[in-house]
Amino acid sequence: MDRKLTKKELLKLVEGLLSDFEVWAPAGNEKVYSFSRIEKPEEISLGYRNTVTSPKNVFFPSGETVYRLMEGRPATGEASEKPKLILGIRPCDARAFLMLDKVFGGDIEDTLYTSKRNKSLLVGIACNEPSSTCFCTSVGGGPFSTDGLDVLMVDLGDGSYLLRGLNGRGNEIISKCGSEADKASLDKAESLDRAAKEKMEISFKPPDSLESSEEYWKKKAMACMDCGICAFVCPTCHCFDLVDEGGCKKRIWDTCTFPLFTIMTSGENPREERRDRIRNRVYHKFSWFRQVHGEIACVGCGRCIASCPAGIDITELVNGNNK
Amino acid sequence: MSAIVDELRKVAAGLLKSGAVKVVIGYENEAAPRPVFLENAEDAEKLVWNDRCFHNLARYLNTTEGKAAIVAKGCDVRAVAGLIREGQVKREDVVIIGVDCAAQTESGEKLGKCLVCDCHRPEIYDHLVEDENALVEPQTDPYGDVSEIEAKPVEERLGYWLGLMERCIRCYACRQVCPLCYCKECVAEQSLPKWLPRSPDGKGNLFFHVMRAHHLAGRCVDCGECERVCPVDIPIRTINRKLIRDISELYGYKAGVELDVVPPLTTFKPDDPEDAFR
Ligand code: SF4
Ligand code: SF4
Ligand code: SF4
Ligand code: SF4
Repeated sequence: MDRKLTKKELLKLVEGLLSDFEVWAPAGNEKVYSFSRIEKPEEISLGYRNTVTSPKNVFFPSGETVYRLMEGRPATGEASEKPKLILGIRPCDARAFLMLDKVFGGDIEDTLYTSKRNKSLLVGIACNEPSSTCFCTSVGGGPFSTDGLDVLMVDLGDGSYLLRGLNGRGNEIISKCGSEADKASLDKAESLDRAAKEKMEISFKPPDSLESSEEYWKKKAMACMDCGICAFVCPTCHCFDLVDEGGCKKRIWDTCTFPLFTIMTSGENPREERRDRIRNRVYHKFSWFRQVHGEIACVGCGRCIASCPAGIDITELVNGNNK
Repeated sequence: MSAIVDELRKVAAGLLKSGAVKVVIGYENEAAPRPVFLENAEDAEKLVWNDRCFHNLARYLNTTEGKAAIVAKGCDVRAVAGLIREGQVKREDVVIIGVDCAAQTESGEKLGKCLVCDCHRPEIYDHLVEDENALVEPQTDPYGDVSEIEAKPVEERLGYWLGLMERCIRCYACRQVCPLCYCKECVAEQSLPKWLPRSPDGKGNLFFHVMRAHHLAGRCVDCGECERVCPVDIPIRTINRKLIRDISELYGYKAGVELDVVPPLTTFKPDDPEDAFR
């Protein structure tokens, strides 16, 4: 189903959604946008490009309570009456949730994640202007990709939006708003899609096997400072640690780039060297996840490239010396 | 190619060729400079210099193997001096290639630290790459922002910081990038005893930052790297600069300027100002 909405009609739609869903959307000041809980439609900013942090915090927040120690019973995460709806999610981030679903929703279900993720709705916004660090088209996605979305919105540039329902639930929420999309709008969306793909500055074919020499990774990792930016802004990185805090067992984000990530009680640390840590992050995404789940665990959002304090670029690491 | 870059490359190539150093730490990639570690004289051609050479390369001095030469701006040199002073690096093991620096800029605007910079020419160096145009006067009151926040009532101040700290995701980039934050095990990660929560929330994050700032009191050189790298744009420099000003007012001391002055917080004198214990 394709509907055409004016900005005003879109705000009205959001207004309506707010009564049925817990709505999360990009909001913030000029510099820092992140996915936040929305109370009023005006709080939403759709004009941003990629938020600094990914929306993974909606289903996988850092610092979440796993259980309360004294009460001795598991908390099923924050019990939310309403299902969650993420509005204005980029296609890359929506694909990332399909990957997290495989991790947290596999044979052993992670109910903290799935209790929030099940019944959620994703209303995406197509990227008319990809950022210079975006490379979704190289890893199986695209600026207008609909994977994982229930509705895709396209900013038609003239103050109106095209909303495309992608399944029953998506159609249901948009069926009563705006008007049926005319042919001109559909054509416009198609040409915006083509133009966006042409604007992608980074394009490559991920190699089947990555560089493996110790020398290579040592060199590439030299500038790394062992912080957690790349993993914490990444929509697909999902490692966590468990801590006892405030009478609760909580889980917090953790990452293989932290030197303490692999340390054992004996003091032994199998990944003591920086080269091994960086290699691990890239191998996990571009090799091991691919072997286990059949796809690359990087959606090309480019956040790690944009935020790395040392200027490390994951596409260079992946492409080795051939680039 | 500018005369500065030319000179830089010549010095670096010379040091590598003669075997005076094992590695030269500098910047590569003209469009978006980033750290590079050169081991061969022929690679000196990779070095670049412009107003986007943000990184304080002193961060890498205690992680590179062997004797190193480092390309350093005035503020970076202060960090090198701090590391020498604190016994992390031996003076004879580092060759400082100082570069006169007018300012580093982000989207055409000078960084906050550069507006108030009083070390456009490095204070300590082995080689100096000169640029007369870089020697500009500081432009603004160096502590204007600190005074502004200090003037607010306590409640409001707390609210201001908690509001900002809510955003912190505990990626620890601010700490990792800091040349003076070289502890092998940070208080933030100690678990026996555990000093502060690791799950990110406003109060815990503020605790972490206040703790960090205090551990850097009298040591922070205001290179601004912590603030630059913060992905969620928390003005960390402001906290550190409050302490920089206090240390300067209380003890008349400035970190990273002289190698042979004992930092006030590492020593005790009977007549130390009581105000330090307010
Ligand atoms: S690895 Fe980098 S580019 Fe890939 S999904 Fe994660 S943050 Fe985005
Ligand atoms: S603080 Fe001074 S030396 Fe440091 S980057 Fe700015 S202008 Fe250059
Ligand atoms: S605290 Fe920040 S400004 Fe001070 S030395 Fe460390 S990185 Fe530089
Ligand atoms: S860099 Fe910013 S987000 Fe990361 S730990 Fe420091 S203050 Fe928090």
